[in-house]
This record gives sequence, C-alpha cells and structure tokens, in this order.
Amino acid sequence: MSRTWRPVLWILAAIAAVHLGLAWRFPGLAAASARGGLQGFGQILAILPAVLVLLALFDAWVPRAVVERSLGPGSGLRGVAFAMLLGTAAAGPIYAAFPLGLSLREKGARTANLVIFLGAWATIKVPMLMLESAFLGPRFALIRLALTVPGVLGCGFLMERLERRPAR
Amino acid sequence: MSSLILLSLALSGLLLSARKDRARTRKILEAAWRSWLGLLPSLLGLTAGIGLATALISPQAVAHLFQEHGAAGFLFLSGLGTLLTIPSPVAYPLAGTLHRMGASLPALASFITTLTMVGLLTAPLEAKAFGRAFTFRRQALSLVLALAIGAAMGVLL
Repeated sequence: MSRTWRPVLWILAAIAAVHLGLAWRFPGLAAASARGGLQGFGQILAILPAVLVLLALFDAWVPRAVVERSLGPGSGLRGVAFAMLLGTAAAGPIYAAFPLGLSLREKGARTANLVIFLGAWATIKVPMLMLESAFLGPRFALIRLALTVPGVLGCGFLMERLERRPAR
Repeated sequence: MSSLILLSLALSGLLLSARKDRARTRKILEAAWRSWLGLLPSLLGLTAGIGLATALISPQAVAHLFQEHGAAGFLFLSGLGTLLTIPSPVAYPLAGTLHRMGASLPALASFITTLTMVGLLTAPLEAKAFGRAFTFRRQALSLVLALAIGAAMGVLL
C-alpha cells in the first residue's frame, strides 16, 4: 500500500512547497494558482472515477474477440464509423480516453481506428456543437465540424501508414 | 451534466455486474482503484501546472496579445493550445471570451482544435499508454490538422 501511495505524497509535497514558496513573496499569485489547480482537479474528479469504473467493467466483461471484430483490421468502414461514434458519445478531456484507448488496442483494435477514436473524443462532440454555436456562432461550429471530421479520418489512416513503415 | 450521465452509467454497470458475478465485480472495483492510484501523481502535477500557468498569465496581458489579428496572434493562440489540454466544455467559453476580446475566428478554430487534441503537458500520460513514437506522431499530425483547419476557416468564413 505504502509503495503505491509514495508518488502521490511526493507530488503533493512538491506542489505544497512551490505554493508556500510563492506565498512568501506573492500571496495573490499563490492563492490564484491554488484555486486554479483545485478547480482543475475538481473537474477531473467529477469525470475520471466513473470513467475508470466503466473501463474496468469493459475490461472484465467485453471479450477480446468482440473488439477485434468491430474495430480490428478486418472491420472496414463499419469499424471506422464505430470508432468515431464511440469517441463522439463520450465525455471528458482526451486524457480520460487514454485508458480506454489502451484497452481497445490491447484487445485488437487497428491503429487507424484508435487514432480516430482519440481524435473524435477530443474534438468532435455532437452535444458540444450547441455550446460551440452559442459562444462562437453556428456557422463557425458547423464549418469547423465539416473540416475536423475528414481531418481526423485522414490522421488515422496516415498514422497507420507511418506505423507500418519500419523505423530507421 | 455529462459527469452525471457517466456516473449513473458506471453505477448501473456496477449493479448489473454485481448481480451477475459478485467476486468478479469486486475485482473490477479493485482494478479501477489501482488505475486511479496510478494516474493520480500525473493528474496532480498536471492540474497544479495548469493552475500555476493560468495564475501567472494576467488577463490584461492575454487581452493585449489576443487583440492582434495577424499571424502573431494566430501562432500564439495555436502555441498556447498546443501546450495545454482542456476539455471542450471549458474550451468553448474560453474561446468565446477571447473572441469578445478581439481574437480572430480562424485563430480560435486552430486554438480550439489544438486545445482539445494536442497537449504537450499531457504527452507523458499519452506516451505511458501508447508509447513515445505513437504520441509524437499523433500530436504532430493533429497540430498540422489544427493549423490547416485554422487556415481553411480564414478562407471560408
């Protein structure tokens, strides 16, 4: 137990030291930084535990063969569409997608689909389209969507190309 | 909102799982807790780093920089987006504020795309999951994509 907690305690001590050091000369800055950090951590706390539980459930109950069939090398266009849908439907920042992406890859998803899933998770969110329209205008949101979808698809297949070429 | 949906999904999943297989569900919870502890140090460092960065950069300096409409503003916003990773529900209000401050829409398109897809601060997390070569390639391609989207928005809008 203590071994797994040690890195957590170290990083907490480092953060506390930086803030105490700052508070000595710049108390306002230290307070603002602490507030920002706590806010960011709160956002993660609201999302990540549920994501990790879903992930562990996914890992334990979804067999490898299912992932391989729906996202693997033989999955074709359906696999691509499924990868995009999977990323679009999820909530949270891209780093919340890394564990699920890893699990997908270990269970046999092809690289293009993994990259498309990550890209869709990060920046193509259908529910978020309303928010984007509200802040930047529907024209902006729709044009950006129309550019991002083919862009993410292109990135996925290009990544697979790059990976297949043996490293020098 | 989305976190509530996630939470209820996770809870109902756990209930279903526990109904089918108690021991397996216990193992699932243990696995989730282990991955949480594994992620925690990087997450703490990340959020503290972002907190410090946003505290250091004063709103006035931000407003001043973003009022430039030319290439400097575009590159600066893309660079900032490249460094940070922010979930999209936070990115859009931020971009909206910057737009009111005078940042151009093409620069903001590139900003939002880099902000959500590319993150130098989160690269270590990504490399841990997928390896360095994958992370470097994906981030480089996404950066090129974001700049291209920004440039295309400049033509289309």
